[in-house]
Amino acid sequence: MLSLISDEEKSVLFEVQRMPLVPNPFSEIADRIGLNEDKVLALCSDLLSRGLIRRFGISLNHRDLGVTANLMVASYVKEDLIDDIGHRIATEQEVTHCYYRTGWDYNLFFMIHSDSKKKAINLAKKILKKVNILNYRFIFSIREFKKTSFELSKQLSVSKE
Amino acid sequence: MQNYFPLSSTPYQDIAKKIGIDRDEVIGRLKKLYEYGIIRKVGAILSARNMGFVSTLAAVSVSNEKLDEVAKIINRYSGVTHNYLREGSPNIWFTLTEANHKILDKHLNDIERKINNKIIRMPAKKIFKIGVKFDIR
Repeated sequence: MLSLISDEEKSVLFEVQRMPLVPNPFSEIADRIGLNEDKVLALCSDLLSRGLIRRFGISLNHRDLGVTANLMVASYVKEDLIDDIGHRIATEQEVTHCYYRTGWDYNLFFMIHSDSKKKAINLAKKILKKVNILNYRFIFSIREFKKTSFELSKQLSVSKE
Repeated sequence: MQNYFPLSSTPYQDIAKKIGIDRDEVIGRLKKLYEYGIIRKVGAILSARNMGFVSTLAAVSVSNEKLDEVAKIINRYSGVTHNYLREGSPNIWFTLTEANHKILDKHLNDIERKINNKIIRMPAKKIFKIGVKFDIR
């Protein structure tokens, strides 16, 4: 998969992760990697449309914004019901992530971010009841050791996988 | 501008125009927000998955007195994007993203050896929803 990304694209992907705070940031990046500004902009919009770049914008340290309760619900759902229930849970607005996972006692995981623990629990219970899940576990976060978005490393940006 | 960063020659100028302040003030405010630790970065958020990377959720049970030491060992891997202490057992939960399965397994095995503890590996078989977006006005 990685081999489908050209070295040029890898360099752009690496550089645009942190836009320089200067009047013409794409031009500065173009200089760094030896392309012209128009080419960098064209590559960016192509990478966006292919979904390799999810979005451009600001990433926040969300702990600082009053979003304090981070509840992971690990639940068990019979294999043949997972698709249906997973999709239904995913439509809930307060659910930020929902995954079918293998490897543990539980197989359907979803996350709820809320400003209080109590609210998160009530919400989760409401959702679980709606989809008739009885076997579950609430797993709140206590401390954050690391939270960052995925970043391409310099080595990988120029290596051929 | 959480989700607004124009692909133009002068993105900060464009943002400035949109919100009615001048360019240098936009740049100045962003610098301050960095400084205060409110924002983590300005730029592209990449999709590891769409780039062909593989990842897994992983968890391990660690005694209280070893928490910091183990968290530090795990955090040292740049492919670890999230790492939390959570209630119950297992109590350390992290996600690891790597270029391929071989590297992913190697790093998990390395961590297991270093912390002398078995890691539960919970790769996603299907994703129903992903993504946190907070509206800020």
